Amino acid sequence: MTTPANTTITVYVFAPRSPDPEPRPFTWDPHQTAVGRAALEAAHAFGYDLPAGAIVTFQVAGTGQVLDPRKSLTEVGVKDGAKLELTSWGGGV
Amino acid sequence: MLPAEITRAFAEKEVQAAALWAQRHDVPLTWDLANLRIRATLVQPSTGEHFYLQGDCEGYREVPPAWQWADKGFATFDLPNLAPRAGLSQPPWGSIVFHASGVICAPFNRLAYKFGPHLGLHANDWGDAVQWLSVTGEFARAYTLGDMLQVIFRDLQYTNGRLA
Repeated sequence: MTTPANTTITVYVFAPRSPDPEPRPFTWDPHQTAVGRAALEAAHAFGYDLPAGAIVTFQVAGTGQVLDPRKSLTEVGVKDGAKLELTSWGGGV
Repeated sequence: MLPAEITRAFAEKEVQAAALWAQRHDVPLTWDLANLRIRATLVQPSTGEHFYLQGDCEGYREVPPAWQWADKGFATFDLPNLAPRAGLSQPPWGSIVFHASGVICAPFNRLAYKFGPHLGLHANDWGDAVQWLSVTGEFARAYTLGDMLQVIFRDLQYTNGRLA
């Protein structure tokens, strides 16, 4: 069931740098919020001091899916109650 | 090199967070305080095979850890059969951090840089390992031990089998 328009969802975010075992809740309009913007907001809340241009995103707990930061939360299938882990968007080599 | 007691002070908080990350992802993790080594056992999703990862944190945070693939006993390092091989599908951001040489090629790995006599793959463009926090470009960003483990864990799903 898709989230109706003009409603919000609450997701629970973990950060690899956080010494708190509990996730933090964040509430967003999933249709209007891009994954990248949501992840950046969460990263700042966890105290990440990211360099300009750094892109962060989420990896979904359980499935391992890494979410495309350019898409909305709805487009990538994030639903109310989802558990997400902050992660970098970027490669190596 | 940064004195060991300073490294321990930096690492202590980060290891706590990394341990929580490891619990969330069912990753066995150990921290050798005396030798400043963090070790993790990762499972490759495509095959179920185990890969043993060590981060040598000597000099951390002046330089990043030296991340290497090891055998189960952490006695042998850097052999091709100890490292994961890239799978057929690429991640949407372009490339994983696992180079075909077996080196974890990311700004958070000391072995990617020039460091003393060591010339890593990025010795020319990333420079010396002490510059790790100022590397720019579209690379994976990870500035704590937990974040580094998360990137390595993230990319393991884009691998299949071993380099040899």
